[in-house]
Amino acid sequence: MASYDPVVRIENLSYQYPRSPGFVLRDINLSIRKGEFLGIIGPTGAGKTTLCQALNGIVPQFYGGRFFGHVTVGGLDTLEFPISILAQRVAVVFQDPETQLIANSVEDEVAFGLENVRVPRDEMRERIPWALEIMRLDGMEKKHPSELSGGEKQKLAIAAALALQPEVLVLDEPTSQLDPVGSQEVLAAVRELNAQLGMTVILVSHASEEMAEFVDCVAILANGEFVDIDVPDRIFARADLLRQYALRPPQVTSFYIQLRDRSFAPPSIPVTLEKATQTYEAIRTQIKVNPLAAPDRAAEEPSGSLLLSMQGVEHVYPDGTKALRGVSLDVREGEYLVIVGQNGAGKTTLVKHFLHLLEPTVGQVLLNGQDVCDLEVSELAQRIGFVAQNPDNQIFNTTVEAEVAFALPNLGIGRAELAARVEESLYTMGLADYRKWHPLALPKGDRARVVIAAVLAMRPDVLIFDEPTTGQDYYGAKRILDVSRQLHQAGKTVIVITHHLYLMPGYAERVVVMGKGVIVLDAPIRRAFHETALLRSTYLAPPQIVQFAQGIASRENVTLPILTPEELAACITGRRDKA
Amino acid sequence: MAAGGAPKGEERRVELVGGIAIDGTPIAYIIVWAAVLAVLSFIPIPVSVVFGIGGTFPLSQAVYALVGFILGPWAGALAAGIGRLIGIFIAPHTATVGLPSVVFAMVWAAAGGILVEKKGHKWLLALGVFGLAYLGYVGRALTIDVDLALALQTTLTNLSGLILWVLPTRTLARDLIANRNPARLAAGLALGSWIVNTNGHTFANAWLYYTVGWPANVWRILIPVIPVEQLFRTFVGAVIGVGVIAGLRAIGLVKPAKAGY
Repeated sequence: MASYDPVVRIENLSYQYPRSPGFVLRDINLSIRKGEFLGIIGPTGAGKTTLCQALNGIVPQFYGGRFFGHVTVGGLDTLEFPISILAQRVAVVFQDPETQLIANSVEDEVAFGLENVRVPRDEMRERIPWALEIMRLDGMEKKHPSELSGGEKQKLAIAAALALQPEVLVLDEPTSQLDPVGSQEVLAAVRELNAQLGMTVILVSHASEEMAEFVDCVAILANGEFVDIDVPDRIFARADLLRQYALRPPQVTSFYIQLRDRSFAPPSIPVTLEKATQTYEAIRTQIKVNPLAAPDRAAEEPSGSLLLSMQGVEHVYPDGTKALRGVSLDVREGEYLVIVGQNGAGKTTLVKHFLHLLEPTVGQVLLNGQDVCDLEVSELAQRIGFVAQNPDNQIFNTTVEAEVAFALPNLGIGRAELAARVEESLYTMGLADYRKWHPLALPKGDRARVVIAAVLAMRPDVLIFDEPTTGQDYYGAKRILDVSRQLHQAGKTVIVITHHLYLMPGYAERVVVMGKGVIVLDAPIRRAFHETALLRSTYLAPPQIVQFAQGIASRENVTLPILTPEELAACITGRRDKA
Repeated sequence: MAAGGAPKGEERRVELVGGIAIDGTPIAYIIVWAAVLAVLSFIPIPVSVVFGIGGTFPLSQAVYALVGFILGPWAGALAAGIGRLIGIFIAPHTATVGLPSVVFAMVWAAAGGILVEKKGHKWLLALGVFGLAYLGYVGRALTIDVDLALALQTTLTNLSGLILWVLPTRTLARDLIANRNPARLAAGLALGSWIVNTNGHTFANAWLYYTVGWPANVWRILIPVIPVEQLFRTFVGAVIGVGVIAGLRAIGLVKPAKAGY
């Protein structure tokens, strides 16, 4: 329960980066009470990360720029105290975990912060395993952080922050790379600490479902200003406001808003799965649920010629980690495939074999019947475009335009053609206005789009996107997936790795579910998303609306293989209506 | 980006509070650059031909000047010294000269920092040091079997560094490094690196030659080798420098007080 003492007080905060043309934050006023769990949502580039960094003095002490107003944390003015002092009160988990991992082992990483704030050794010995266990990193104590998957790195950064048990915990998109069950576990643990220790938590996230379930209050930040602050029930029920700022409500909320618009008038618009189920019980006598026919299995079989084939592939990393265990997978020309699975399941390892970035320890990988080990990486790169998980690893030019154009001369493309392709890619990814910017001056979400634009310009036959929607707001994510759909419709083969299952209906046709180095399911999306038990076995959860529909299907004894709120709403009619 | 109009809050003075800084450079920057230089120690300069000594030099030499341009003279010298010291131990295959190379690295980077200084007279002190080093280098050669003409031919590159240090080319390089135009920045880094590298080389060679004293035959072979080596260092320093400085400007980190970019 939150007390009435404000632990964070922001008064008329405005901030401008040294070379930004305008203010990134403007006239922000906010009081956060001790023990409060505040969520901040907003479109990409709204100023969320800057606001987080203003809470421990990194903005402006590290970046410089112009700073107006006052920010106090635990009574300390963030301009008058060094970051080292502020960091004892405020722990920040950054959007990109790689920026804050510095130690040589997982346990040293967690210990580092504790050593700096002089936690007694005996207490450190208790807190380190405690934090690692919460993050499901126990057993990895001696691993080097660079050997962890993207999601595991994110969990390690969170573990290091949790171990500090700070007064204020700031989490900037902490679960963007985590598997769905992992996200739930992390936020549940944070919520527990919030309740038990009175830790104030500020969570920035694009995941509406998580926000609605865990936070006390939600603030919408857009264009550097607070648009609204209210409880989740009221914020997420305002569909028009959310749409205006490229945000989305939880899926169950979206479903009930559609019902409301069709005059079914639920007593209230729920924002969590639990409340959605309660609301359903309240209105079920007024509505009729019409079953949706299960799809014809024969029609779902892919029909193109075999393009990529993986046969009995095993991969063992030098440290002995067995990342793939006898994986066999065929990808046909023109398919749109999504690979999902828990953190560390081997998804990225798998696709790296297609590009010969990794060689199988056992087995064979074929492209059009030819062993990829016989092909040069440069040759493969022309045929298979790869957008890696961390865009910063693929950026090294000084302007967005140069980055997009970089590979083209190596493909023997002439000047006119090069200019046309760069132009097309920049417009497709909405980057035309940023062509002269340095890629590192863009937010992380936009940097990912720069890399995608660079890959698009090469016009490969196969495109592999590794977590392309991480750090994107809803419309940013849809924009990327729309591009992938256009490419797919133009005959390209598309492979996407993601944890954002709710985004994939309407795009992917086939789902490959991985768990601990093996493929546990390979099925059409409509079937795969309803294999709830199997998904849970690999720490995945189907989208919220699928879980909700399964509850209804079971209650009404009908088949409801729906994938989206729209599909579910279409199955609902009034008792007296014709189906 | 937020809408226009004056902010309501009072404008505050922005500075790094309480953080450890050396000559206005946060210690974190010095540590990062020391780490970069230590890692670069693993890579030998490919065109380096070391007559009379055997072995090779580390690629970190190509960025000593850059470290000075970015961190300033004192912080740059410290970063270069720490980086080189670590480099000697972790990459012994490029540690031909051994511990004295730590001093060379420090002087080299300090010269870079002095070159970009807008005020003060440290450049005169540096001129004195490099001038004496040059005289010592050539003077020792004349006491063995090298005649003046050969000594001047071999050290023409070093002499160019001294002349360019005295002429307005030093301030031209400084101004170009501060320029936001990438082409001018590249030109400034190339000119500045050449001036610093050649003088740093003179300083190092004065000591090396004093201890080794290679004969006239070696001096003749060095005539084409030294400029090629210096061009390579300059090219690498300018290429890395353009990317690094453009990146630093883009991400907008607080600039060290004595930074030249």
